[in-house]
Amino acid sequence: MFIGAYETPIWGANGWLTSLNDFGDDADYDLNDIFQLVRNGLSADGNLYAVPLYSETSFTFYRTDVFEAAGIEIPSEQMTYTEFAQLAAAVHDPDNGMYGTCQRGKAGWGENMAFVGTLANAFGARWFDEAWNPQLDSPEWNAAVTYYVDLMLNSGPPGASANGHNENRALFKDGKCATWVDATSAAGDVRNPATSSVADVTDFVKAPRQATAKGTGWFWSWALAIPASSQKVDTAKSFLKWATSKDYFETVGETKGWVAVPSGTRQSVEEDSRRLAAAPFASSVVDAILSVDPADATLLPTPYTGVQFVAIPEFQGIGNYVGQQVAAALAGNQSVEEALANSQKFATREMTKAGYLK
Amino acid sequence: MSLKRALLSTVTGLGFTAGLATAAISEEITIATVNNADMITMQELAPAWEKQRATVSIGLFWKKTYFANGLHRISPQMVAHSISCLLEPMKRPFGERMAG
Repeated sequence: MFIGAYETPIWGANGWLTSLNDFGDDADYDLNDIFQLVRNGLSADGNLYAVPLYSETSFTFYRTDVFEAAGIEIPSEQMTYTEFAQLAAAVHDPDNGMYGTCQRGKAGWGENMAFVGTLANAFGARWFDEAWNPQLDSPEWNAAVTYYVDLMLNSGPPGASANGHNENRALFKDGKCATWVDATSAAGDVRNPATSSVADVTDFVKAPRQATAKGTGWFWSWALAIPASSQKVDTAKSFLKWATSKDYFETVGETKGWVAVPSGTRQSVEEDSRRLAAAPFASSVVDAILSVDPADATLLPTPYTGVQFVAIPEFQGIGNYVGQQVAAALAGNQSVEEALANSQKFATREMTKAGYLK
Repeated sequence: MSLKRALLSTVTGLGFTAGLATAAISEEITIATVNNADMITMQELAPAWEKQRATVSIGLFWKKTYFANGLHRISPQMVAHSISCLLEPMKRPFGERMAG
């Protein structure tokens, strides 16, 4: 099964996944070639429970031609979200089919909340304080979500609350977006002339910061795991090894092009001269991924790990609910204050029910 | 040839083919996927792994999860199942059967 970096440690710790520690004994597989940060993110209690197809952080995609035509230079250093909003507004030209920015609006902990979660980190917000009290009604959350709604209303496409990663990726590749803060794993697709109309006019910089630079780029990995209940563990392990092997990535490179190779997983692949020639941005993507620290992603201290998610089972329900509230605010169905008040109430109830709060 | 006879011939042929394919596969694993671009690429390349398995014939069955229906790779068992569904009275709505 494919599984993400949120579920893997939780499911592994619960005994729901088969340990893959024996992959380390296979010299041909070369487990240590997989970045340690990624292996750590797919482990629990020192046991490896999944092997990655790709890993990603988030960064800013921008159209070099659009900003050059506007006489605007994109800062090479990490800009603030305030500066980002000014840049997006300066090139927003909906009458000519160009939106200043495209960001996730579709509700879901893994959709709009992936972006909004890192935005909240940037504004100094946190999901919970050290005693697991929800913090969604804090001034920092209010500032972040207010910024998000204003950004999208001023410089985003219409109906943005229906757009998730895939919709925005299509819009960006179709030349409709001047900026997009989203997954580094989309870079190969956007820079692939076979699949993108903006391959030659797209470049990347870090995701913006605001009150802090901590937690401004998320961490995610899509990986393969084997349920503990599987009756075909040996066969499944054989498939997992093949699907995440050096040979597999080589096969993708040779058949789909080296720009399309899944990124952020194996050091040998990212250092391959064919990969670097086809995807000159690859090393900056790896640097960005390896700079993420899921254990220290917020300005203020927290009891949890995770950048755009909180690595506890209760987060999926809470994240989805908050995502719906934020999407409703974006759609104009309620105020930001109402969205966050509802979110705080829901999170408090769920955390109390789960025994975190008395 | 009447339409009814043509359909029966087609179904019989498909059933025979599915039976042969089923008999040739001694093991099948099911892989849950969300089908993003990299996962679809893997599905395209996976027959190479199946061919590598010289001693045991493997059937890979990809099943899309998290989103509504999406069986993106059809195994012989699924072909046989579909044929049996075609031949039985339509007791349940199509969507319900696919989701199940």
